Amino acid sequence: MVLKLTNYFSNDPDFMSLLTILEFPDPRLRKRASPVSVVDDTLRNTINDMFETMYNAPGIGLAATQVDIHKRLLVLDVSENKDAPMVFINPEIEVLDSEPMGYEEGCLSVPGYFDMVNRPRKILVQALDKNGTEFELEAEGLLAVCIQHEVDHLDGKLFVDYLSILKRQRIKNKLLKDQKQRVNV
Amino acid sequence: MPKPLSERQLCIKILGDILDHRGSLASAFGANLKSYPNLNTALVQEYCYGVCRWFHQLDGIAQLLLDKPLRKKDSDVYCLILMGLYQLFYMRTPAHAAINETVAEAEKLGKSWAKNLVNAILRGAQRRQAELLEQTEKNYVCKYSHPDWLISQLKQDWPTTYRTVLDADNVRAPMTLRVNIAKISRSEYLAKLAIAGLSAHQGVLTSTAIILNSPCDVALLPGFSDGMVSIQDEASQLVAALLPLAPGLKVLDACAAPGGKTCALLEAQAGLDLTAMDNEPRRIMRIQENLGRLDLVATVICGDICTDSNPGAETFDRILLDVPCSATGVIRRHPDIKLLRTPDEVSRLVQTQADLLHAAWPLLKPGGFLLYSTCSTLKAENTDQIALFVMAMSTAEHVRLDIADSTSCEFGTQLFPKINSHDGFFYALLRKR
Repeated sequence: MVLKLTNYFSNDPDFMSLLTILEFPDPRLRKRASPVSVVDDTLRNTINDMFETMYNAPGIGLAATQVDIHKRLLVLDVSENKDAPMVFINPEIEVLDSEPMGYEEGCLSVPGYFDMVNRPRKILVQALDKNGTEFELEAEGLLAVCIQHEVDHLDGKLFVDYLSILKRQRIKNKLLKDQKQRVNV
Repeated sequence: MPKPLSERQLCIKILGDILDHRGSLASAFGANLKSYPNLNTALVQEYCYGVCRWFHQLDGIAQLLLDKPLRKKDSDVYCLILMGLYQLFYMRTPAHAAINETVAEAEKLGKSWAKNLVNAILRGAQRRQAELLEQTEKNYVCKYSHPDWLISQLKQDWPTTYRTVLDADNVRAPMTLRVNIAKISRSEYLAKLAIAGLSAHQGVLTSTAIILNSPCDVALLPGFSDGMVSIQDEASQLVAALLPLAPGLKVLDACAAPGGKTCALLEAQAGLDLTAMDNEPRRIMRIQENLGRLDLVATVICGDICTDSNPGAETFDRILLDVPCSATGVIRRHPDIKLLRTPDEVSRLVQTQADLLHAAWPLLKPGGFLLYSTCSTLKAENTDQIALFVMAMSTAEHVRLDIADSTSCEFGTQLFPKINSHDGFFYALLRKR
């Protein structure tokens, strides 16, 4: 009820609300997001809500697709103290070093599961920031992993797609069971 | 992406997998841990190894403090409680910090209801520490922190020494080096270690072993990448002294991976014609890596002497049969064995060992030697296994081995794990008539 009320004030940027994160195997996670054409206050409100949702999870990255907004937009903050928020609008990735780096990835849309995924070690990202200004960023380590993971979401892809069919199926069944239980409760 | 796991959360995952028989310490601490770049992995290791080492004792204490057992789906809370108890009883963390950190972690698990429970149990443990430890003294499983079946078996096998064995299992093993005496003498290498600021002393069983006074990263060992030394327990190094070697002999190492004993043999005797076999393709690579680093040559074959890949009858002058075993002699290095191994598994291993002995024997030339070894302390895998084989095989003649610091059995020789020294091990030498 409280969450709904806050929506009435949604053009006030200080008023943020928690969004619902879709969970695998929800088909909406498979939608391809379309490019953002205008960076305006409405979008910035969405960005604020996404940050609040991400920090609350707690997470270090969130793609718009995960909150059922199918625009090419993602937020992340890989810092320890939640003091380095970053926004990427219409991100494009170029691989600078394709040497694979393994990381034990998880996903807010696949709660409770972590598994090793290999991705290119070093990337260059081009995107717009929250003011619509173009910027470039070289990334490696956790930041590179996180950006690639979130951009995958915008293309309807999940980290479980990199695992074996058997593992993916097991995760899917377990999550479906959990989701069913939650509905019954 | 979710916030990366904290040290404690990762421990809960690793320990949960072990309790469910879905993983081991070795699998968790292999390459995987490198993928958590921001974590203090030494701390994760301390918790996980510590909780496994003292599991049966901590579990006993937790049972005393819990009103009713936790549900299966709350095994994460249970792992958290065991870690908290380990911290209270075995680590130097101040009690209030240990308790507060553990209680806070219950919240992060998304199980706020468990905060009071965890708090009550850990405060109870702190308050009643003396009384609880007294209680654990009364129960062998708790006192020695080993599973019941294993204590019973060791007691039956070694009625006078089993307590010493159980105590030694609970003490961390030292880091032991094998000096490649083809490249450098042991005393010269000890001098190199001293210069590098690493204190160490020589082993007593072999002419190649150096025991470090405290473990270190291999990267800090002088000349490691150039093959001057390898990491190997002293009991394993004995293999080169016990198998009679000479240049030109055809030698089969039938269960060779990861190749530690293969390399020990090749370093001890130049000019051996050695074939190293193992049936796991993944582990074959480890043999190649070890040979490569040490600049040694052997024929490496992926295969199983029990099945199709028979390398030919009466081909070999010497066979080393380092069979798969319960690894009860190296519990101090792999404390999860206490949680993972079952009596059924030991019975299956005993059968596999007998199959391997019978498959290896026809490959040995008459007059040749077969050295059988395990890192087990159970008679069924050791002296009893050899007794059955010698009885069944008229061409097998048992040769007595003389090893310092060991227990001579009817067949073969048993080494028990020794604090600050070698692992538990068994050797038996057979000659073909």
